[in-house]
Amino acid sequence: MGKKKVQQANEDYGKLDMSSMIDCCFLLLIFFIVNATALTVSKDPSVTMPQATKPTDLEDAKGCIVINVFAPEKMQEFAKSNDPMAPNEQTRINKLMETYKCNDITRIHYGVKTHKGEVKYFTSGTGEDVVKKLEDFIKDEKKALEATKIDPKQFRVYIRADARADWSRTFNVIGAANNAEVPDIVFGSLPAKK
Amino acid sequence: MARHRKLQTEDQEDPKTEISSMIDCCFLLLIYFLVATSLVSEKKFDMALPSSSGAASSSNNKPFNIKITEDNAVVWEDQSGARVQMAGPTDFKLRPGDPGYYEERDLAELVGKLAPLNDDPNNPKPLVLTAAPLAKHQRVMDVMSALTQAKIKAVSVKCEGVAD
Repeated sequence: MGKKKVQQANEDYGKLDMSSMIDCCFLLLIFFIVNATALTVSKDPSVTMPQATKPTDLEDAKGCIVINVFAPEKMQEFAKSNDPMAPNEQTRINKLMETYKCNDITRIHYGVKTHKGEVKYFTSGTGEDVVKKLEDFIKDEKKALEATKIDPKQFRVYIRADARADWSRTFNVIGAANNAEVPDIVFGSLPAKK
Repeated sequence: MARHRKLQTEDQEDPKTEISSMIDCCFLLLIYFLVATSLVSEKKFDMALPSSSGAASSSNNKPFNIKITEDNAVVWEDQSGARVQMAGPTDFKLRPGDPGYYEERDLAELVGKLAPLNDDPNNPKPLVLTAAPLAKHQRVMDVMSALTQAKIKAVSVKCEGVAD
């Protein structure tokens, strides 16, 4: 009877200290969060990404100058249709107008975020030279990137164009990138599934 | 009354917290982030713009052409100028997940035409992708996907007519 009591006392003593394991877990968690954010470029959810059968992975988002190309006319058309997805599209339109602080959706053709964190939009087809504006933006961003330690070979223009956008709009960005002497272009897309 | 209070304090003397549920929680979060990072990643296509000198050097060689018309049909034109339609016009009514959506994106016939162009990697044959200003970006991406499948990295892009 007495022996049993001693054994019980020993069992009480052999408890694991869990705090170090929890520390470890949190470290892992933080590592993955940081990793995930470092790999992503700033994404504008108002762009319906095109889908492709054989895209490659974007391994490093460093040095990417992101330009969103919207298809506002198509968005509006879709929002007014009888499609069950139309209310979602209206939400996206509202979000877009809110982001760029513009009441006329048809003016938002290109959306960018500068290195200082401010958002800007450009309108095409209004007589203003939109290619020149895009070129100036790319040049500014390039200058800001040159001040960092990122290898100039990694400077790329990342075009996040809406699947429904006209080719002429995307082509303006390519022309601007060429003028700003950033010859590498990356097109964003989502993988198409069978 | 006094005795009752004493009993209560004895009960509170051993406040052990159960941390196993917290660890469970942590792991769940960890797994969530792992899955989320691998699922929501955007993919890309690389393209290098040909320099002006490069364009001049290839002028003695007539280029192969891929044309995207205003109604989003894809037309292949070889060096002799013979035209074959690779994919028909589309209005992009199909959505991701719909039957036939993947087939619309996959230009297998064009990949077959493009594959021989990559025979000699040191001497790539000139290729020009021309799209109408009103052609949709999605169609250009379909063609870019075909180029990636055929392992072609250098292509000149053009926009037919005036861009706004």
